[in-house]
Amino acid sequence: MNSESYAYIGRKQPQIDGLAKATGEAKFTTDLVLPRMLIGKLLGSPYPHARVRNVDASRALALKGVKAVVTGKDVPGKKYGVFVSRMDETGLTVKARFVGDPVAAVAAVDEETAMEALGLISVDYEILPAVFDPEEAMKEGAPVIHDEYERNIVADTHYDFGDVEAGFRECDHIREDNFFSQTVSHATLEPRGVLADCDVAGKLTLWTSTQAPFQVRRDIIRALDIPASKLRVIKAHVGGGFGGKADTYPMQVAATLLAMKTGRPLKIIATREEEINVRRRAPMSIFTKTGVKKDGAIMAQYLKILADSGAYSSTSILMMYNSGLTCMIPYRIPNFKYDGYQIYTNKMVTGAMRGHGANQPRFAVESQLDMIAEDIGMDPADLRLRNASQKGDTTVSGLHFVSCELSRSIEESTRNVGWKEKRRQKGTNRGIGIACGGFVCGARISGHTASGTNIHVHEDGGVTVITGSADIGQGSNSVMAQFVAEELGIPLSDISVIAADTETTPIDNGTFSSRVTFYGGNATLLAAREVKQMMAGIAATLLKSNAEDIVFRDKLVFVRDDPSRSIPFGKLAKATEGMGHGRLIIGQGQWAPTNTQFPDKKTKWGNVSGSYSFATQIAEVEVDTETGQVKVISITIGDDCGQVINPLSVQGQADGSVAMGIGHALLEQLLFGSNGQLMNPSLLDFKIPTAMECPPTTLLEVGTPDPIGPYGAKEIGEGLLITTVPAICNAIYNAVGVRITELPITPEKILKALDEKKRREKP
Amino acid sequence: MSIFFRRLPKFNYVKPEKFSDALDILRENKDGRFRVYAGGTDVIPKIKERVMPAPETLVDLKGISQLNYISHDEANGLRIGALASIHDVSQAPVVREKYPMLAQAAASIASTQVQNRGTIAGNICNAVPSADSAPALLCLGGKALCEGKEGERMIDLEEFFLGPGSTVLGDDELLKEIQIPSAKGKGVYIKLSPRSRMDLAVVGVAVFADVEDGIFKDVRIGLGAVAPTPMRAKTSENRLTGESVGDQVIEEAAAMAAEEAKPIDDHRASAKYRRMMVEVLVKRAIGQIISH
Repeated sequence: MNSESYAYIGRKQPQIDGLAKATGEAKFTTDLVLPRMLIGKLLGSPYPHARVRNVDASRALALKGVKAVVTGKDVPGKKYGVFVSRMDETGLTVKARFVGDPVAAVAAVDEETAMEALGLISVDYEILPAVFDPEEAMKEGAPVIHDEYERNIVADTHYDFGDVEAGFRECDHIREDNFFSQTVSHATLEPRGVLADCDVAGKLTLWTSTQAPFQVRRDIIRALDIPASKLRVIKAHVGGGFGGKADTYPMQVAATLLAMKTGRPLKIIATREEEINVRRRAPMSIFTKTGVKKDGAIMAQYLKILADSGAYSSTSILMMYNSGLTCMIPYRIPNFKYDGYQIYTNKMVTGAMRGHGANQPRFAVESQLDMIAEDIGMDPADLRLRNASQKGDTTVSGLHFVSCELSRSIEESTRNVGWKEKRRQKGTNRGIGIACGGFVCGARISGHTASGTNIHVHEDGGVTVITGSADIGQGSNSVMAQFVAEELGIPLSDISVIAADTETTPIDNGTFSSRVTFYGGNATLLAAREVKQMMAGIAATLLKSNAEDIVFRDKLVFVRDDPSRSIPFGKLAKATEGMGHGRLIIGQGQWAPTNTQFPDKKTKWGNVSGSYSFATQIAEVEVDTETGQVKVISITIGDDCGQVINPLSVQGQADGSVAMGIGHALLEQLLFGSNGQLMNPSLLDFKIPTAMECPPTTLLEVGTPDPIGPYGAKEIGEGLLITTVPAICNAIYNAVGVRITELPITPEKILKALDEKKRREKP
Repeated sequence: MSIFFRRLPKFNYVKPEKFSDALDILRENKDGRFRVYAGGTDVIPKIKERVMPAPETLVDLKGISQLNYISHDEANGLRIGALASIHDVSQAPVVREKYPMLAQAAASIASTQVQNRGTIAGNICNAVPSADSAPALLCLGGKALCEGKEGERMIDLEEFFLGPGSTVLGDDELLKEIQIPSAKGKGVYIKLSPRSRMDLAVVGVAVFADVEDGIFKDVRIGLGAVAPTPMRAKTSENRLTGESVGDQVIEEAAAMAAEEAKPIDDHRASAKYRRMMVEVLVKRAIGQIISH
């Protein structure tokens, strides 16, 4: 069945919660109010590294309206964290490890009182020596941030596939270059927030802004030592996550603790300043060595990456795994070696962020490939075509591509922009650059990873989809509804979705690793097909046909060869549940790919994802050689995300990726002071692009239906972003002949490089 | 730089409805006991961030509706009441027609929300070096009509600024009206910032020039964010005045403006870059004027 014959798949659909969001009716955590609700605030350490000797909250507790103060000593349970092997957080700490690390929390009748109370809490600190630079932190004798980690090394990841030394010996040309990717913020529209409620029986409910309610439950029951069944976590409407809300955050632990202590509902909403200080993208220093034959064939590649973890681990080991893994997706690399290190420092924490570890090395490698192309006199697009991964390939590390249209994405995007002609433009300060990438559709590298969906059909033919997949604004509820609409032949308006509630929906890992459409979508398809099978059986009886000849379309259920023999979907639902049949129409689906393996503990060999996305991105820029400012003129994308489910959502992902990529390439940088404190926690001084900085994007769909993804769909949320930054870097080089290897590319760096170039070129 | 926002400290709040009542309140003001504010887009965040000490009493001027006006006549030029919003100034037909440089500068300030709330008078009284309206007002020969317990006085805006956040206004004084004389010539404001909207100027350059028969008759150059106060680049202006329009003289004048600037290094840009940009932008602004 091709997409032409689909009723809903591949067709533009507004988000099913679009109206609620556009009118302001959708309830985000900050909108939720319960009777007798208190407001909570967290007290952060003013020191980057300090032991809390004592907290005197007596003055705060004496303030009218203050109901409770809790500290790190009140957290009864064990440390929590994303990975069992790296659990190092407590929510409220007795040893502060960065400026702003929460050491106490207060509950009060309103925000004003809570903020005033923070100023009345006296904390006696023993100040410890601190370290801020990962390279310094790795040295013997550096201050130890977590006792269990010698030299502050929290992640230490190595691959050695093929024979890299032999590979380099076969090369005609080898380059070694250093790159640096700065640290940036997720800058979600909605700051973090949580509302906690504790009923008389001691049952706790949390409504919170999260990408992963089941992980929040896992972490909080551990930190507060409460049974899993006593804590229900419900995802509210979420205004963006980008990986930052995949982790449990201290406000969630503190709110639960304060609700338990006061017996009253309690809400904590982060200010923008507090929000920016929770998680960020890891800065990485990247050494890249790549060797090619004369014809451009990559023979060997080696990367060494040093990443800053900040004060806690968060996703450290997965991030460092990804940094190496994703290098092997877009190109055939027969010999690959990688050493990745992530180091604790006394600064705010780095963690997952859209692209998760892939962005930084992609910037380095794609920049270097352009340098190599120039060295060997090859067109950079041809170099990429020469090495592009193909359908059916298994990489030297065990990744297997059941679908891959990277070559086509290079060919179509270069054709669309007029690549050859534009590359030849000289003396215009305009330039064009290309970059390619690929990404997983859910990396299966730890624990439980299946997703699940239940479907109920009501007596009028309305359908409720109950899924563990968390819609965080990316639109997964609408995607799930589209799958159900297509299977059951009913409009989206007849479908409602309940998602991501630890008590009522199937368990789900969360929204990250670009897994939601792939995993959750397949689970939803299975559930819908179970419903369909049952209803088709009843319909066959009523229409005197066979179940396999029954078609569901346009709210009708009919016999394929004789559509006049039909019954409205609603009537069939009533008939199925009613007299004579008396069946409950419930469908259940759970899904995880069966073609994956956990990576081998020692070698890291294994196919970690059911399928992989591929993308080519071409940026056109104009450089003002007097001011050094760069304007991105256009972005053209050839994207293989398999079968597109909703072209509007896919375009949204493209536009969002381009905006985030422009910020990362040109504008954004978190700055730290001499004490490791964040210096620009505001959207005035942390400069995300406005719509005025974002050019039109042309998205070319080059994918073919994937054999494993639901209706052939693959991911698009992360794989696109990782190519924006290097495409811009390469376009700048093409425009004015300067190569910036340290992000962000500020006007001052451009002018300095232009000046150096001019000096070099003078005889 | 920014620290975490905190709650507003406690203070008294008054909202006079007459200008004379506001002056009465300020009569005994000293040591920041009373602080006045109009839009509040600068004062309130400063108090929250503890950059400005909490006053005993905050005086809200928004109730004085008699100061919300923009008027113009050929004899007196433009008058902007202290409560005229940045948005109103940027959109007023008379400003757009007769003083397009000022409309341009006002429209470049912060965001739409801030423009709706903030006032041009407040942008001047806040006295940050990067105030977008200042270079344009300096070029246009703007004057501040102020009043205190000693009565009214007219202050040339060139004499108004003392340093970052500091002006010649006395504790008992209020800026009542900004006056801009009619002038013949064309003006341009160019703002350089990382983002094209919702941003602060890294460098702001305003140039006003009257070019007659290929001769620079009257040239004024205002610079923002490159000295402790918004400033005029007079050496550069003098280099041009009376000269025939030509590339070389423009380049020399632009280089002189860069020399005159006294920029500093900060997290937004280096002094060196700012100085270079003064030269680039002065050249561009003059180019835009003469090409019209």
